[in-house]
Amino acid sequence: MSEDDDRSPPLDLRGADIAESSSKTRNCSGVTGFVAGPGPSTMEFQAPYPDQVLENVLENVLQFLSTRRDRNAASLVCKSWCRVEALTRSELFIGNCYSVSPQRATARFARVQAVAIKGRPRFADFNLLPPGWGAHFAPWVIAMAKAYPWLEKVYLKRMSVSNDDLARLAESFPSFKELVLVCCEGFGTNGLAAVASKCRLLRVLDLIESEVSGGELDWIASFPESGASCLESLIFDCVEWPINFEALERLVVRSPSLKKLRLNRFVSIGQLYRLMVRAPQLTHIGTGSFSAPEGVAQDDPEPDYTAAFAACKSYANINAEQLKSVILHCHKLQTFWVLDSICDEGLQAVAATCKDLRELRVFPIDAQENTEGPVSEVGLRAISEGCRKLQSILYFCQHMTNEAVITMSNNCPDLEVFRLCIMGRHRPDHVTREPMDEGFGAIVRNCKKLTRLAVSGLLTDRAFNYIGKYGKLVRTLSVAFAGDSDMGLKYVLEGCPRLQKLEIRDSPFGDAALLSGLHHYYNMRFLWMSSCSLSPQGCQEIARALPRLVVETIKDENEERVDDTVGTLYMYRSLEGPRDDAPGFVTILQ
Amino acid sequence: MDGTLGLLGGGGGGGGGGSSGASTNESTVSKVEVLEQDFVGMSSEATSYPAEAELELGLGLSLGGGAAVKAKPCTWGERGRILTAKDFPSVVSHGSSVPSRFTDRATAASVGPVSGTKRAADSVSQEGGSPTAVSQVVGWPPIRAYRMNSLVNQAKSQRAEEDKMIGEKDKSRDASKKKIYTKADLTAKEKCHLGFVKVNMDGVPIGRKVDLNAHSCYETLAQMLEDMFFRSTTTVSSIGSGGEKEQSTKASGSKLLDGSSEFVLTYEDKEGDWMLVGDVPWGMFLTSVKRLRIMRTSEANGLGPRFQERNDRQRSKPI
Repeated sequence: MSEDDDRSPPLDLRGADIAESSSKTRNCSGVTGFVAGPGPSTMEFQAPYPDQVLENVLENVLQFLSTRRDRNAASLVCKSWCRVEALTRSELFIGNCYSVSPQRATARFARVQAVAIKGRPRFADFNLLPPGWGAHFAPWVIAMAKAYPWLEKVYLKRMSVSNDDLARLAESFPSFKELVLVCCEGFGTNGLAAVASKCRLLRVLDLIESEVSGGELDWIASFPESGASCLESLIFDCVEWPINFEALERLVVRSPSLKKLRLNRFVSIGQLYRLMVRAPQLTHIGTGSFSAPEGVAQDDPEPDYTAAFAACKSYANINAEQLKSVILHCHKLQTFWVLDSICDEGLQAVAATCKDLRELRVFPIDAQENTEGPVSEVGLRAISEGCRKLQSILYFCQHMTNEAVITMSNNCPDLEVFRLCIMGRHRPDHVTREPMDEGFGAIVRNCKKLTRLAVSGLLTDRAFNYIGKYGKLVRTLSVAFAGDSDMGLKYVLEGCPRLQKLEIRDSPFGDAALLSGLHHYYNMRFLWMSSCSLSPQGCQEIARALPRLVVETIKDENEERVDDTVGTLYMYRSLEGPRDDAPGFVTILQ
Repeated sequence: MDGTLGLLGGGGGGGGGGSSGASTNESTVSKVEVLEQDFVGMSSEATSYPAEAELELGLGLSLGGGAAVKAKPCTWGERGRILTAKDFPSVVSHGSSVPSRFTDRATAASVGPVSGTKRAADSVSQEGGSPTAVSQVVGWPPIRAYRMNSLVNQAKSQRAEEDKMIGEKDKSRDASKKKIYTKADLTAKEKCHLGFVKVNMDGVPIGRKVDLNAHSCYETLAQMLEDMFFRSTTTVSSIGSGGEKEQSTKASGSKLLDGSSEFVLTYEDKEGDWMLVGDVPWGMFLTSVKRLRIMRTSEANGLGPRFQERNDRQRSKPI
């Protein structure tokens, strides 16, 4: 998912897989110059005409295109290229499940082996979208069962998946290998049992931050008991139900390829240790809700286990002292997700050791708007000075200064993702009392590779002016409680040509600002604006001006608005027009 | 108090003047001051807002406070008074719909989104030792409910893990499995398991565990707890207490025991009653203690009768 700025998805169709799939393609479509048939004996020879030669050449060439951006570009050249590209695309990515219907997608791309579909808008994660909004996997799995019997991989994010969907998936795809569900809900352990028992070639079963309901079936015990299993990755730390540990142990023992294992909190440390001993080939291991730092595995096993073990054991409580003893070994650490209980001191230790750090996420133990917090600009500055190769950062804090952010912008030129969440809303630089405009301005100005930005703290329209002026590569922007006027949003909509995903909440942007983006909305995946200053009339105007845009206004049924400002606007381009599964609280404007 | 805006009440507020022209820094700062005064004024009046009782917010993500979220006052002790248009005197004159928006935002914020609350309630279960306050705004800070849950569940799972360990001790005696437990820590922990009790402190989301077997009297236990929870302002303990800085108490003698601290040490006994630590002989204490709690002195009045849920306590807690 090269375009995707989320955490690296598991689909990895490079090189060998592409060649493999393309050879399948060629077999399916027949040998050059022959009319396609079920077997060589029934073929008749026809001299290949020039277009067909070209298509065959194209097919051979296009098979090497792996990124979807390249493929999208190739498909725009002409109809011939479009057709051939469609035949050779084996990895289908649907960024918004409502932008295209399953029928249309499967009709165009005939030989897909791996599908990734995203559903709900991200702010749904923070309870800003009432439940039942949509994003159902059902129509997709039904269409794919018909169109792609050879399907191997499914990656879903923020979709509603039912047990029936999982059962259908398990039964429809005999070659099925990888299932990754991120932030999904609607299914339970019975659905997992279906997948475990029927998908004999299953390599990856990753459940990440999904809501899994209970069921009477023992899903771990549903994996086939005999013979070696192909499992390479099993992640279920989000499953809030006890599991059959003996069955898990047996599964681990007969899974020689198992590399990644993330268990839930119902597996004790002792049990985890037992598994680690039985499966020395594990590279990623974790328990509870936070896993051990990944990437540690490159070191030799002994300190690796110590680090992983110690980190797992006291993750929630880990303070700077505890971290220091562990982090000393982690020179090669590239990805580090941690709670802010390690404090600025802990971050300084990280900065001192982890010179190769690429991604850092610091989450708050106490997610409230307090005046004090354990991490601050001190930690951020330290990280910027120590971890020069930093590419992605998500940092929750109570206080920040422009100076530290500017320092980071200068020290970390490789930054692609900068998400700073100052938890106190509208909070200025706590030293100078100025807005945080200059800090974020420096980030967009100095970090030339920046594609994703989340802003916070006290911000005036000036910050957005900077973003519009310098954030030319920004694709995803998250704004909350910021800005002064319509100008803020205008700067961004007029200035950021690559903007694809814009999510805004509680900011004073109104209809005029919304109108200023008309030229750009077809280039975007979506725009989300909640608790801003939009009116139904303003949104209506957009809907009328752009027929291929689906403009949803969402009313929170428990919210009573005296005036008629729009609660939430969610709009996205679509080839299908208004969806037919919208619940009552969604109004689609036309 | 820094010029933090929008700490109370629903969303909106802050620099959102909604003026059509670009606002300068000056005007923003002056708005900040205006609002700051309002905040200061409000905090002292917070207790006298009975009429606004129905405007309880308590929305969004809370660590363990889901169900009774509505009733919880926030850490600074105010009862979520909602900002209304009259709090933004400089804004009213503008022709835009902003002033009314703020009013509505206020009203809106007061009523719901209850669905947000509901989800928080569904996903976040009650947990003893969770913080006393709740984020006032739905979905802010932007942490997935799942992740918030997991922090609560971390605390829960530690307890579950202890229970599991008891069961496993028997299984682990099998000869074939013995060598797995060569790691000294693990064995030691399992053996001394029964000496570990959880300690929670009011206002601190994450609890700790102490090994009671390592102590022979109340003094050393109390001293250790003081070191653990009161050591420095950057420890977890200071975060949840709403900004009040804990004074690091290094005085000899335990303040927790002699009643001179803001906090008292209490324990839950086998019958489920909460008692003050120090009343009974140490040996008797060891046999009856189930878990410890460092409680605010203000809450510890009349300790003895059973304390039910934290909700009840907080509803009656004077601010």
